Amino acid sequence: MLQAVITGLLLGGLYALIGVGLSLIFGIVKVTNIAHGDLMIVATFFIMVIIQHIVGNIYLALAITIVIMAILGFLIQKFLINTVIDQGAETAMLVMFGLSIAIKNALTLIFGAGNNALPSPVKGINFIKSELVSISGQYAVNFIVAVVLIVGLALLMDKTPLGRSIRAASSDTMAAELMGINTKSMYVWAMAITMGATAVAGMLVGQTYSFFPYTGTQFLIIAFGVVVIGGMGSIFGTLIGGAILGMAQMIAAYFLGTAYQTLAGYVILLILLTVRPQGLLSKKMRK
Amino acid sequence: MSNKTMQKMQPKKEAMPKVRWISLVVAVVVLVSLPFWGGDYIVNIFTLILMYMAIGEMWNLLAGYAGLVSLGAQAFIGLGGYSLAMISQVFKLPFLLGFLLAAVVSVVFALIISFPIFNMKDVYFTIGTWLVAEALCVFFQTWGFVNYNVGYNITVARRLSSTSVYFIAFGVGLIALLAVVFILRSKFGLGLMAMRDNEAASEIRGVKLYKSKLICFLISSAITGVAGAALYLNLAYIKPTVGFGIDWTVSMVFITVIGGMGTIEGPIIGSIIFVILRQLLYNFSGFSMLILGVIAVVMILVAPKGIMGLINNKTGFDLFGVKRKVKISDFAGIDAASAE
Amino acid sequence: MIEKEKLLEVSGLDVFYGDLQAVKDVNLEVKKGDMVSLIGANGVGKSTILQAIMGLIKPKAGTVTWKGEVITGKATNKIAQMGLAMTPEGSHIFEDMSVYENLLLGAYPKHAKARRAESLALVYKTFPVLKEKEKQTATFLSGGQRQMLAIARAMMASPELIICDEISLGLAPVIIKDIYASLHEINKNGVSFLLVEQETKRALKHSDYAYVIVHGSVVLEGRSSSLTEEEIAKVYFGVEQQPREEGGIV
Repeated sequence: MLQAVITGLLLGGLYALIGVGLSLIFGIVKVTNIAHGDLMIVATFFIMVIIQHIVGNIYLALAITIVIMAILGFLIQKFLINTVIDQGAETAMLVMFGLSIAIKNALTLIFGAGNNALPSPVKGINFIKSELVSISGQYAVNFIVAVVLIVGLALLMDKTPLGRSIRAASSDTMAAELMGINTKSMYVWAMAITMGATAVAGMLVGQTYSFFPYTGTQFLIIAFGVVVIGGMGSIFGTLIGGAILGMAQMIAAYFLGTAYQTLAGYVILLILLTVRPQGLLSKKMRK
Repeated sequence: MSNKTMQKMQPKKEAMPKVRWISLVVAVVVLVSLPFWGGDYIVNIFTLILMYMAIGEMWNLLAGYAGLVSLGAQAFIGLGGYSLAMISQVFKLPFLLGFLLAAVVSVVFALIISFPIFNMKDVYFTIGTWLVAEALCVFFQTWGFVNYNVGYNITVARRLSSTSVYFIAFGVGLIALLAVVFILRSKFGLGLMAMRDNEAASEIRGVKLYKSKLICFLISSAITGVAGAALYLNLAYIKPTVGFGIDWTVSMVFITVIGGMGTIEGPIIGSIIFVILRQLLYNFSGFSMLILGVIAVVMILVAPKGIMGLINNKTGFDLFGVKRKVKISDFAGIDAASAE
Repeated sequence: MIEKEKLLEVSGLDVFYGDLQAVKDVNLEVKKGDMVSLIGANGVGKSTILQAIMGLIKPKAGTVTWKGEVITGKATNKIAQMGLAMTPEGSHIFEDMSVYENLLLGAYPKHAKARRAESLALVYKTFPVLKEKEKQTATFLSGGQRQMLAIARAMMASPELIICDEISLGLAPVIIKDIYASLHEINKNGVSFLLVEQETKRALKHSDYAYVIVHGSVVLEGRSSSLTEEEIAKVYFGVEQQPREEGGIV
């Protein structure tokens, strides 16, 4: 039981990192990025290809991938979402849905439907191993990286001039335009930053699980879970959302067996959505 | 809308009914007689078009008219398919009972999940419906009664002639179309459209929001379930990951978006394009969904109202005459209708 | 008298909402150092004119010229970088940011960033209360303080012209008096104003030149000192067939 709670908490860190991108884009651009999970898997595949063909070092590969993903985010926001955003959030969501389908199938075409894995320097190493609990090195790394990155994102949004302008654009588009802020280009920045962070999530996911072109959906649902619990748009909320979702899944697996782990996750989410339709910890809605 | 533009549109509207009736009659005659002159290949293509049109219409009814964007419609395809499989394979009953069961199971399931998911607004509704479908898929994989993740061969499908399957598809398509036309030409449908265009305003007008949405959801679920049974009569093999696969909803979204969301004609045009494209791309199986995804994205960017939107803009043509302009007097009617 | 430099010139402006014409052939101008007011009842298109100037809505016809350059059709954020600032109706301050952050955002245009410290000192001198509440979240400010913050935020952009949409709406007379006093103070430093005001008397008192708008058109204009309330009431009467109530005095 203690093991389940601790594993769940650590798993929650990774979940939070997967969810933070979805949450940011929802909070800032007001669009539900249905392709979020698939874009993350795109990053995972990029890292895999770079390791295999360009540079052997996974961290170097990650650095390159962060840049690629940021550029990809830039392009997606500028040419897809910004074009349709004035027609409403649903239209933008459907565009991302179309993109999601295209990505899945493009990946399948290139890499086949089979399983892949990323190398990890901490694979098989235990961070803590005792009678009471054992923590795998990978889970510990995931957790630490996720927390550091999420805190970093929060600081970026909170303290820097860019973060301030992005927040202004999302909280009152008209007022921000009147300040001279090009709100649509703020969205582009936000998407680029988010995709960069998502590349890191993609690496950790690829090191922790085996992945294939259709895995994105699974992680999108996890991201939804995190965001539903933590509140759409709240950065720190994702940490709490991730922890709750991770622990709930692990505890369910402990009592019901691993077969019910996923189902338990869905059911918990549905209950939460029913009881608190705006998310468990969501900020008070403004007027 | 000012008087000036109203007048401009009048003559066009007057000329329409004749064209409308002639094209409808021609369509029905062609479709009913098709198996007697068309080859097997043509019949199969039309079987697919009719079935996909049915599920497209149902998704469009929710997304385009009731403002409910669902990504969980595959739940009902799966339930319909499994209803057919259970009736014919497990209970060894006449397979037509499978369609009845599909409708019943779908409505009951829709009613049950409506309690939680109708609490959810906008994007949360979308997420909620998807979660329901995913949960159902996972549940079926662990449920012995439906043979876990192995699923069933639906042997009855192999005994039926393609003509019988065609007429079943024709029936399903007709029911779907009639249901939509009937709903939208009723006062209730007018209220729905008002609701879609301005939720707050129509709530003040007295349209019973929750009830209208629920009725739409139930009808759409039932017919999607029946269409699911029909689709599996054609596919002949069901398992959870495919039956409850998101690809079903992908098709519905594609069909609706390409044809034109919020128009009855949209899904008809969309399903024709969808089925033909898929046939053409059959040999490049990986490519077909990729290309469909790209086309859908481009379509939303270039023509957000779909092909029907383009046609309608140019000619003012609409086949079923449900795009009535909402007048103040109609609103008074809604008040009366919803008070009943 | 030497002709003052023309800052803003609007000519032949037509704006439609769908089929409804909200603004009809409006011509107006603001000269350097002037306080100009647009007078008119609720819903006659005053705000629409301001929004069209700032590029928030697209006019169907007509041009807006800023210091000799045509700015019609430019994006709002580009126009805001050129030395025009606007306080929109209802203040539109950034609710969940601190007063200080709101002010920093006001200094977003490049030319304003360079003069940020200077502008901030001036803002705090004009509105000492904002200095006190510097760290507070904007959403907790009172109605008057919100308007002050909106004006202060506009000042931070080091503008040559500030456009104010209904800044006195819903405020107590004492506070309105304070706010107009500060506008005059800002005006003394060479900043021009284009004010939208519902109350004729107040508008005439606080401006050098006034335009009276009825049904989207300018029906009367002149030096504020030469226009009288009676004259304006007559114009309203002639067009709208009913006298307007003019209450509230500053």
